[in-house]
Amino acid sequence: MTPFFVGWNPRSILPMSGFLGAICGLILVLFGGLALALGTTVNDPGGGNYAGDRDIVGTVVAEPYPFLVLDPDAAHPNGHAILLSGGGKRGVQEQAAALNGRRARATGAAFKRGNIDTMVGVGLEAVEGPAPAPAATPLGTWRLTGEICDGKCVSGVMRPGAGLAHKACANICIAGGVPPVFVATAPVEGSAFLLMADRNGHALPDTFRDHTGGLRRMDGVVDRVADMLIFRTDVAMAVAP
Amino acid sequence: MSARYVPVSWNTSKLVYDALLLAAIGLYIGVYLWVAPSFQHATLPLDEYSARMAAFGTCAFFLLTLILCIGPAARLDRRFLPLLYNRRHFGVLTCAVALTHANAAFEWYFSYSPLDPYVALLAGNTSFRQLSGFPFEAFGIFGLGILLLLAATSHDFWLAFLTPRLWKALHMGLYAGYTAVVLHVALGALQTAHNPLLAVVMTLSVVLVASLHVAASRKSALPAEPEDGWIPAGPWDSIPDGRAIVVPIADAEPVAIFRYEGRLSAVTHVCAHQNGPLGEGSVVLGCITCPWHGFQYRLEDGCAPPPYTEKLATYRLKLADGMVLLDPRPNPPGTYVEPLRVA
Amino acid sequence: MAATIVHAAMFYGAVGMGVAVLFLLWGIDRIDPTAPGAYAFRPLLIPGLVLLWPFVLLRWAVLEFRH
Repeated sequence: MTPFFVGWNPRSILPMSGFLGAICGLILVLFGGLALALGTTVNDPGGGNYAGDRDIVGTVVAEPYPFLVLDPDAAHPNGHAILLSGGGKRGVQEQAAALNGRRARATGAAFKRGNIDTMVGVGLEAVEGPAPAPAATPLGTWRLTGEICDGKCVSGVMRPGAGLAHKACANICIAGGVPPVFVATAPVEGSAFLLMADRNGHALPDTFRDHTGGLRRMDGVVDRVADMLIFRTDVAMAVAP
Repeated sequence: MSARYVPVSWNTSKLVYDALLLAAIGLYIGVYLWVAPSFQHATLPLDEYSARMAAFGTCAFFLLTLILCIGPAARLDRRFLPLLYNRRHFGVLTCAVALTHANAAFEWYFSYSPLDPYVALLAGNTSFRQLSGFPFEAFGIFGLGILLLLAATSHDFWLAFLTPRLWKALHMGLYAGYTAVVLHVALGALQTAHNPLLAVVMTLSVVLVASLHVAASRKSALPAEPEDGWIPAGPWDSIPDGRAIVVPIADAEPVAIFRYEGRLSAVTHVCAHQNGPLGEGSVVLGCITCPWHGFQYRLEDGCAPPPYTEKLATYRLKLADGMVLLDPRPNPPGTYVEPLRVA
Repeated sequence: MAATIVHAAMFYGAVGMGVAVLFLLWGIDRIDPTAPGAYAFRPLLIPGLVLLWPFVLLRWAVLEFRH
């Protein structure tokens, strides 16, 4: 009679134990192999990383999204801009609006990726001292291809903090007030990361949601404020390249 | 089950099975999270949550693929039957792995915002009109919902409460769940995967599941035309001793005709426990024994031996020139039918 | 829209919890002859009862009528 397995009789497995042992061994090897192969070929999430807790002083700019411009130094003759966001997926719009154009101290955790600097979990407080308006230079009209990301995740708070799998998170972050960053496929004037704004230099309209996460081509005006590029564009006109 | 309910019924076979399953899951997660990063060509490793999402997500997909392969593989080769025996524990563990994946995504992508995290989950991405950028989370939620529903109704109580037919129909929902999971990965992780390996492995998995099902379904014969109300089921000596042949019936459940110690008995092919394929079982200790979970029934009246209370429909048989003829009208479950003597 | 769905789901779950408690403490002993005297397995049924409570009520009524 052909062997027949009955679950409540463990001895009935004996005639086919060799076959099953081989199958189980194969499954284990397959699982180990797949985990190794897939685990070693993950997408490179980039080099954005935590850069320590910081306590810095500069001029607050509230629009289009909050950032702080540090005083000029040898490395940054026009001052150095640092994007600001709050705890979690929140911006610091209220704090920044109250201090717009004034000198303030920002404390928080710094993240750095390429030439983009961000601070998260930011607390702002006014300090005495000069608050010069940051230098702004128009760089003309540009047609750019790249991805709309949130400035917090893409700078290394999440790795990866970009791509379509991260799209919902990027939407929630930007809607919550985190500065949106355009990551261009080719650098513009030396920078691949541009803070985004609408045509008039204000925060993006809600239509940004359909364009985050994937590659988009869009036309707009680029300005340099301190050492940061700001890309003013009509996000609703973005198209897949 | 007609014995008193227990939270989880374990026996030696199930304990070994569960231990092997946990070993496979532990190996996969361990290698993915703690061995593979040493061999990555990445500027920096994935963050902890993203790595957990990837490891548990892919692991759940492969476990689901295995679950769906076991059924047809066991129909094609009876030596796979022990893998089928404990599929419910397999399903519950798979649900736990999928839930770990979903929990990592939920905490990382949808929490800590001004919105309620569940609202954020539904409202985070609403680009339903795009293919690239489609809210693939919706497919994940649907697939996880099905896994949760199946795990939540995996206890024997639900079999009795819902009736085996409805319970089986509900649990066929796993195919819809698998389809949703494939779409979830195809519109999510695969859209941004730079390495084609995941796409290749996923395609192979889906092809394996589909081809095993096609191969197993080709084993089923077409129903024969009845003559004077009796269906010819073939020569009696074509039935191996202690085994059965399965006779398909038009618009009704197939019938299993068992041969045991020179006598033939016919009962429904559908087990009263979980609708398992009884005709692919054997006679063990004088009882018809289901290949899935070892449920047993007496040959002559289709009744489970006491204290169990399950009953099968029985059928009348007759012999003409060495051919077995079957009356396709089922008797009420548990009806005694004198076995047909053949030798 | 999303908030409405979440509220509806929470309401559904809350009613389901109520049905689960009622069913496990009272109903199950009336409609399943193998349940009386067995208690340890009952918490395992809660997730299924919460998910399927409208159907549970329907089936409960049918089985109650049959008994």
